Amino acid sequence: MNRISEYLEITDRKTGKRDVCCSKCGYILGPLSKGIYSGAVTRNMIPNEISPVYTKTDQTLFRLYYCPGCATQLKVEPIVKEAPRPPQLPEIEL
Amino acid sequence: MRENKATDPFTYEIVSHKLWQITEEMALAMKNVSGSPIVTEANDFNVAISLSDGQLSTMGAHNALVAGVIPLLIRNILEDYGSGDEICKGDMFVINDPHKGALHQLDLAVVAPVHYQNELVAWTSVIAHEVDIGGMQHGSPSPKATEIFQEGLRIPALKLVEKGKFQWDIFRMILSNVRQAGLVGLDIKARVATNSVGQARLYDLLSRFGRKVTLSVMQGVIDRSEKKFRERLLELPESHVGAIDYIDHDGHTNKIYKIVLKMTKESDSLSFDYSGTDDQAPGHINCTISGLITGVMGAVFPYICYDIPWNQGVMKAISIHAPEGSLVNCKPPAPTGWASIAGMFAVRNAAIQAVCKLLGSSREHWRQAGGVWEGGKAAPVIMGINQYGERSAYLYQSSGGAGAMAYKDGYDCSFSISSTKPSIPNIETAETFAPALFLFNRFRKDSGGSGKYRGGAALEFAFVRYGSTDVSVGGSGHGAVIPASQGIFGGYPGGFILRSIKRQTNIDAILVAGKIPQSIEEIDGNVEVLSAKFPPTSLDSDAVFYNSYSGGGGYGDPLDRDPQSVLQDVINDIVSPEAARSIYGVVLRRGSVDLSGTETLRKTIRNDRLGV
Repeated sequence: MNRISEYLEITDRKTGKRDVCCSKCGYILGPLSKGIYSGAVTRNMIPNEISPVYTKTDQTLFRLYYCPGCATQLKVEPIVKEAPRPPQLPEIEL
Repeated sequence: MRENKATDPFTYEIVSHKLWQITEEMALAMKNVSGSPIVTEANDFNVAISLSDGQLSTMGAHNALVAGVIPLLIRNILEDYGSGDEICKGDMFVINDPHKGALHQLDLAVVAPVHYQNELVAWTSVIAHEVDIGGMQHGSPSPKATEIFQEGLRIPALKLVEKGKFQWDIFRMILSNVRQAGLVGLDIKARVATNSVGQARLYDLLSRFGRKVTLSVMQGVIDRSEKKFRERLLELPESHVGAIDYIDHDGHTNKIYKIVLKMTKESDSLSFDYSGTDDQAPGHINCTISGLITGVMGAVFPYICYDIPWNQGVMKAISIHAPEGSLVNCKPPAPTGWASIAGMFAVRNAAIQAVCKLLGSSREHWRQAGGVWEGGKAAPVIMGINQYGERSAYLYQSSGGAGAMAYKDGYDCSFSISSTKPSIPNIETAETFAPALFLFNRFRKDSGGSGKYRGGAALEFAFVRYGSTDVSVGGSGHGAVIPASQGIFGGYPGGFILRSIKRQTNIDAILVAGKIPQSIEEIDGNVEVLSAKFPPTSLDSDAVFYNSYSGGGGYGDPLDRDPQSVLQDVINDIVSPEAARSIYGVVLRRGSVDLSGTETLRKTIRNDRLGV
C-alpha cells in the first residue's frame, strides 16, 4: 500500500480501485479521487474552547477530521468563517 | 546541469571548504564590527559568495531567509550598471529596495564585486537587519503606512565604495535619513569590513588555486546541490499538494488574508503556484517577488535539503509563480515594511505545509515531515527616550517553538528554522539597550501545538519601563486570531501570539516586597489585549507589557502521545494538567500516570469525537 500520511494509505484491496484507508484500523474512507478526507467525520470547534492558548475570537474556527472507524484525529484545519478554503484546492493528489 | 571535471576530488573538497571558511570569517567580521544587537545577538544577517552572474554559490550559516535574495540583488546591480561595464575593481554597492531584490528596506545589503586579473569573477555580499532606516515611525515599518515611501529610505544600487574609495557623500546621505545614525553608521561600516574580508580571502584563493579551479569549484558546488536535490525529488511521489496560510490584520483593519499555494512535484522539479492568494493589502504585510522567492527557499532548504548545501543549484530545480499585484508579489507603492515577518513568512509557512505533506506521503522520507516552525513573529519595538536620554528604538527578537516532527517533539524556544545559528538576545543585553526591566522570560505553557509529538513551546515575557518616563511599545506580528504555526496529520497548531498591556497594576508593590512575578497572572491590573498590529502605545509607570510568540505546530493525534511524555511535560511546566486531561486524555494522579484511567478517558474522548 502507498502511504498518504501518518494515518492514511492507498489501498485497492476491497474495490479494485484506489481507496483511502486508515492505517490504524483499516477503515475505508472512500475513493482517493474524491479527496483524502472526503469520508472523514468532521466537527467544527471554537479554538478557545480547546485551549485558552488560542485567544478568544469570533473570526476563526478549527475543523477537526476523524477516522470514522477508530476516531483518530487526522487533521486540524484552521478556517476563517468569512473566507472558506477554495474548493478546487487539493489536500494532496497522488 | 554539468559535471564538474576541472578539478580532482581532493582539490574540490579543499576549495569548497575554503569557500565555507571564507563565509565564516566574513560573518565573524560582521559580528565583531557591528554594534547592533540585531546582528551580534539575534544573528539576523547573512553573508554569501556568488559567481559573476549572481548565482549563489556558498551561503553563510546564518539567516537563510535574508540570503535567498542575493541572486536578485546582483541581477539588478548588473542590469543597472550596464551588465558589468561600470562595475570596477574595489567597488561596493549598497542596496535595500524591495523592488530591486531586497526583502524590505530594513535589510540593508552591501554587495561587492571580486575582480581577478581585471575581470569580474565573483561577488561577496552581506545583508543585515537595521535598527532604523527612516520613515514615519522609529524602527521604520509602521502599521499605519499606506505606501512604501513612508517606510524609510529606499536605496537602489549605489556605489558606497568606488574603486576602493569610501563614498562619504552616500554614507552621509543615508545617515541623514535614519534615526540612531551612530548604530546604523557602524553597521554600514561593518558591511564594508565584511566584504573587504571576503574580497581579500577570495582573491587569495584565486591566487593560490588559480582562476579556473576556483571558479570551477564555485560552479561545482552549485551543480552538486542541483544534482542531489533533483535526485531527492525523484524519490518523492508525483503529486499536487495544496496549502493555505493566513495573515491577520493589515495594520489598518483586522481583516484576515489568505495565502493559497498549489505545489506540484513532477519528476525532478518542484513548482510553487500562489495563484488564489489575496490581492496586495493596504498595510505593510505585503512582500515583493524577493520575499516570494526566499520564502519558498526557507521551506525547501531545511526540510528537503537538510544534507544538501543551500545554494543556486537547489533554486534551479524550482519554479515559483504568484500573480503580480497579489499580497506575495506586490506592486509599488504597496507597503512592504514587515514583509520579512508577514508576507514572506506566510509564503514560507504555506510552503512548509505543502512540502511536509509531500514528505509525509513518502515511504522513504516521511520522517522529515513536521508541523510549521515558529510561523508568526511577535517582536515588540521598545521606543522613546532611553535610559541614557537618547531617542531610540529596540527590536526585541524573542522566539517561538519548532514544529514537531514525525519522530520527535519540536524544540522549545527554537527561533526560526531558516536560521542555522539561531540566537535570541540576552535579557541583560535588551535591558542595556532599551529602557525596560524584564520581569520574566519563560516557556509559555501549552503554547506548543499538541500532538503525538508536541510542537515546541514559545517564549513569553513581560517588562515594565525603566530609567525613562517616555517609553512606548509597538508591534507587528500575525497569528493573534488564527494560528501561524499549523500542525500536521492531526496535530494542533501552536498557540496564538498574544500581546497585552496590563495597566494600573500593583507591580511596584510586588517589587518593593522583594518578589519577582513569575507570570502575568500574578500581577493585578486592567488588561488591554492588543491586536496583531498595534501602533506605538505608551507605558505608564505602573503598566506591564506582556508578549508571547507562537509555539510550533504539533504532529499526529494527541491521543497517540506517550502518557509518560505528557507527564514529563506537566512536570516541566510546558503542558498544563488541564490540557493533559482534555487534549491528551492523560489522567495524572499524585505525580504519576493513571494508566487505566487514561485508557478509559481516551476511549471516552474517541467516542465523543464520533458522537457515540
